[in-house]
Amino acid sequence: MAGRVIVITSGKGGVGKTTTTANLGAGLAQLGRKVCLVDADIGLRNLDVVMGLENRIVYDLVEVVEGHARLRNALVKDKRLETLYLLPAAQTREKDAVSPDKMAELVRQLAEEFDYVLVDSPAGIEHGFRNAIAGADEAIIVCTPEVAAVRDADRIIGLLEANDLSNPKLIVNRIRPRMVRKGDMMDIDDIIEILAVELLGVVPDDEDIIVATNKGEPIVLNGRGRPAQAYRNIVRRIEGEEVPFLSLEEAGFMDRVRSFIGIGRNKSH
Amino acid sequence: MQGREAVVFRGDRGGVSVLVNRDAPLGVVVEELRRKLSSAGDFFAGASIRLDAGDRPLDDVEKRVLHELIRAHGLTLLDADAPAEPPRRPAPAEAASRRARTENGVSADDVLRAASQDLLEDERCLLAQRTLRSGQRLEYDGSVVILGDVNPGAVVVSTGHVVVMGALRGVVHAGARGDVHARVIALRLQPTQLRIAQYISRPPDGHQPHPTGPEMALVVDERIQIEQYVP
Repeated sequence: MAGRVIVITSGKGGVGKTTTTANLGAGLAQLGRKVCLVDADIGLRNLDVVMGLENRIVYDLVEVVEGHARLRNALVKDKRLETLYLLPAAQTREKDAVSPDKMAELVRQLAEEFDYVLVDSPAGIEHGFRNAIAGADEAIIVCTPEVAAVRDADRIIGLLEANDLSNPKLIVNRIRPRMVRKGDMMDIDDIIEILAVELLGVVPDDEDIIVATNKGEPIVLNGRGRPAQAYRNIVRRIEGEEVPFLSLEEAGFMDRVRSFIGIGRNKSH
Repeated sequence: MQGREAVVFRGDRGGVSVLVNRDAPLGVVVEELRRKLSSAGDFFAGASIRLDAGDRPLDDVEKRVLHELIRAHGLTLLDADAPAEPPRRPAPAEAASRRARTENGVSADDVLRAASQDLLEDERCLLAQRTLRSGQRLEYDGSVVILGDVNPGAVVVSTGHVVVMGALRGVVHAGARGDVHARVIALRLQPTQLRIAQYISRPPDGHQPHPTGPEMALVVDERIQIEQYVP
């Protein structure tokens, strides 16, 4: 039975697609699943860097598609996890070096061998995006709590639907509970209300993620803080488990209750 | 033809027309038509469509290419050589007299007769059973009812009324051909911008409207006014 091909996309750049792809892939591989990460950002490859695998690349996706390299030779095996592989993007080529048809064929081939094929999409809605979604069965949208990111995510969902990729799942990345509580940041409900898609998880903003990303170590592998926990929860939800949403929303709610009591007391004085 | 679209979709009385820019090369026309049809998803599925090349000469090969493309997307192609029906907009006085007649109360028979005589031309309406997302645009010659939301970044242009059975957060232009009697009704009216005929309005800066119930926008005294919708 073929594995699941999931494209991770956002529309807007810089919202954390690549970090999310790396962590979900590592998290799934930790559970023993065979996972292949595909970097579809041709010309601006990043996933190998975030995974700390840059120096092991021999061949890339474009060389495979053009028939200059065999798929199995281009796959880079992760240095920590036995069942995690990366198909790197080409750094020196243009995005249109690959067509959506070729890309679909490639991920189909990978899906025969792996339980999960996670495709890291480039930002934007042009050729690279169309390549990334070609052959995908499911989509995960990464969105930060910013109006512009939500707007782009909405556009992307529309485009996905037009390409028969309905019911995408949403990851809200880089949320800052304190700012949300003060009303300075969009909260999850605002985002869900506009996008009207199923929430897969919420990842808090955390400096540890930046540190881990720069070291090429997905935080899910050895982090003990809330971001790592958030990624692990998302992984379990992808696997079909029902995992309650914890910490963030609850903390916000408790604080709201507390502030209500506070107001009440002030009035009685 | 920089900046000008090679292919434009238009809804009018005769159905959907594809207008082809006379200056655009065939390759561009085909590519853009393909892109628009596929990005429209199943929006046009089953619709009848007319190809209108204006005074652009299309040879048989070009025609065949475009026809096949349109059919491949599940659309029915109407006779391409038939001229697009000119918009038969009733003169204002004529329309007014018609409206008056309706308001005076007419029997069911009258309504049927009116329909058969194409007198209910003003009642054309499109039911869109979807949420319009950012970047999506719906244009229609007639009124529009949307069973879903209109998200920020989405645009609805209608020559009649627009009813949104959901949250309206995008841009709506009702009465786009100058009908100042057009109305915009939404269960949650929080538009980025509203236009009725030639009037434009937007919510005041820094003030996000939080309606408590369905609202209606209409032109009163040369201004767009929003009031609670009372059926």
